[in-house]
Amino acid sequence: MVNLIIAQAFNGLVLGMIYVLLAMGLSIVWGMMDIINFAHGLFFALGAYFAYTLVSVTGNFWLCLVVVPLATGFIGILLEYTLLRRLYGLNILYQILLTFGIALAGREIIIIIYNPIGKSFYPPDLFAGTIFVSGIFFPRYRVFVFLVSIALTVCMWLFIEKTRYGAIIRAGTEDAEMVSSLGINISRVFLLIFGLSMAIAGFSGVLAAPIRGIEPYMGWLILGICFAVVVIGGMGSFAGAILGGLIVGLSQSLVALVMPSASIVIVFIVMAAILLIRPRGLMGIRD
Amino acid sequence: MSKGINRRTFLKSSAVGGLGLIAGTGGMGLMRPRVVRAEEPVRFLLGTSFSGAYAESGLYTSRGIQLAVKTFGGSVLGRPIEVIERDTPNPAEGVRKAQEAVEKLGIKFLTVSPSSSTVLAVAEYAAKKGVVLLGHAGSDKITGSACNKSTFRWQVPTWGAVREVVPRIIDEYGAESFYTITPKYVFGEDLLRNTKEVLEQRGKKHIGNSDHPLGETEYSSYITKAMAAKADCVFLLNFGGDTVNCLKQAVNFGLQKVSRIACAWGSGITQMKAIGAKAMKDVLWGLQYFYKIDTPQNKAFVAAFSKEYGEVPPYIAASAYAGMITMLECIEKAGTDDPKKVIEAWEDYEYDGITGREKWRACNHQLIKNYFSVKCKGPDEMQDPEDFGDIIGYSQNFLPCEETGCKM
Repeated sequence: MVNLIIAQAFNGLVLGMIYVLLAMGLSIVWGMMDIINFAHGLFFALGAYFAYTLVSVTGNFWLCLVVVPLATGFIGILLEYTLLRRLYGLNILYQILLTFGIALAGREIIIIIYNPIGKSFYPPDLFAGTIFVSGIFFPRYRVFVFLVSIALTVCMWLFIEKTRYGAIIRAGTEDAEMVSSLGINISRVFLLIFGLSMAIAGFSGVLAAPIRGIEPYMGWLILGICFAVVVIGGMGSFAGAILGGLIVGLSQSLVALVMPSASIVIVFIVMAAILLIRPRGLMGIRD
Repeated sequence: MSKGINRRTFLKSSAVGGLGLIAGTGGMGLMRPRVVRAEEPVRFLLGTSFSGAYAESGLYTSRGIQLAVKTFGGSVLGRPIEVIERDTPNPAEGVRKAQEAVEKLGIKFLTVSPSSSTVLAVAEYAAKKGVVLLGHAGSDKITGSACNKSTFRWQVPTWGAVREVVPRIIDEYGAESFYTITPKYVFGEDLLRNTKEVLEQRGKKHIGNSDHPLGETEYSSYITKAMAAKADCVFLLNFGGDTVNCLKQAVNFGLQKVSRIACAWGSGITQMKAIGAKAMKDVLWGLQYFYKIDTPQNKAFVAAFSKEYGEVPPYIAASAYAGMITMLECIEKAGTDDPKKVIEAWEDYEYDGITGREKWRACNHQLIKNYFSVKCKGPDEMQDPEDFGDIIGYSQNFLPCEETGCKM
């Protein structure tokens, strides 16, 4: 039983790290640009589908980790520059309508191009199989995902905490208007932030594809959970996204051990409980 | 197939239509003359899932039915065939679309898939309206306790599926102990109950079960538990995309090093393509249909389907095709599109079909057909990209009518 719990806790952490990557982008965009991006899940799915295409053509998984985030990031920048930018300062409903519409349209385009049936995608041969440690199986690929996502998270943290750009982002999350009036070109910062957030979403799509498979609805499913993660961690908070992601991943996988049917609903129970105690989320800077 | 409208029929129909308008009888009759002309089509409804986790159902049912119509020459009773497709993702939508078809469009022949609950809901409606329904779904109830005069079903129900596959696993792998992974809803529970019965009869052990919610994407906890149980065979009782994700993750975890893997109810080639041969070596599948079935009817069907769509037919296309052909043949046999007469012609109808000798049992409207076991090859043994496995056995297992609980 102890072995089972350890193995399951590890699975929960891997799952949690995928949530962390997605929630980071979602949370910063939300906190700084005041945009609730319903298309975030779409970029996760796009990442997976781009990886699928790239691997079918080149056979090289490693290439995906570089090329796919660049591609999704670029599409994100295009989206911000052509559409999203026109809606700043308008009622939040317009932004929801736009991103929601993009998410639906994107999903249908995926179905038209790739058909609705799921695709098979495997981890590179190097990470096939499992590592066996004192009676517990750890799939190699999941270990890899865990380490890579931690590395990326640390890089993001350094970027936000230690660089000048990061300081602008942090300030922007507190008060974008003030940052702008200090003479900083806030629209260029928004462009970069949105692109970065979409690049990371695409990257996590690549990482998740060999674990959970690829199908057109994958973005939709994970988006709901990531919203919960952001709410739990506190909107706009980087540390909150990490904490929230790991809490959700762990509670999902451990609850699945005793009561599988509750593994989705637990996310929202945890969210409700935390909102009751701390309405702004665990690390939230404002309500 | 339309003969085109000449001056005479145009005058006739517009006169009737005009009269209808003047009389103001209301409803759809107002728009369309109620006179059956030679070119008045016989209409069919196809209600299935065109979106969501079961979207493959929509794609392939539609293809199967189109091919059946084409094979049949595009007309029945000398009238053109028209198929109307609707998305029926849940029971409520299923009944709503059936209502629209029957009451507004005057459709008398329905095909509905893939979920048992949707088929059951539409079956109740079809019986009330006295139209004909062909259901493509697995639950025992459809031709059991919930059977009715209007409803026919092509698939071997869970009872018979398990009675083909479980003994085959025992013989093929010498399995003594089983661990099951089950989706928590009617279909999964039916499969689990039957599996337990068969294992008890054969004196084998059922050492554990994990339930998972429908549409689960993260199977690590169930797989970790199954691996800890060290059963000879891990038996998957889920369906569609769930089986694909579950099996792929199981292989990721190295479950095959500990246990054999078998699946009770596969949809065949589409799932195999989604999983990939690498993960499936020696996996045993229970299937309603596999493209390698060795009958002249199937060979002709596979050739026609491959020519049309550039791939071998999956089970969903095959069942839709076979069901539609039967429906059309029975209408032709009855010589009328009167549902009562067609049902009479359908009952006890026996013929050589794509799965071998097939017979529609009159007492509960269940098709008596074979269920197949297919064992998968490794990637290096495959002769072509679709050669995922071979049929290693098949059988017909059905409850006697008295025991199905069906009363018509």
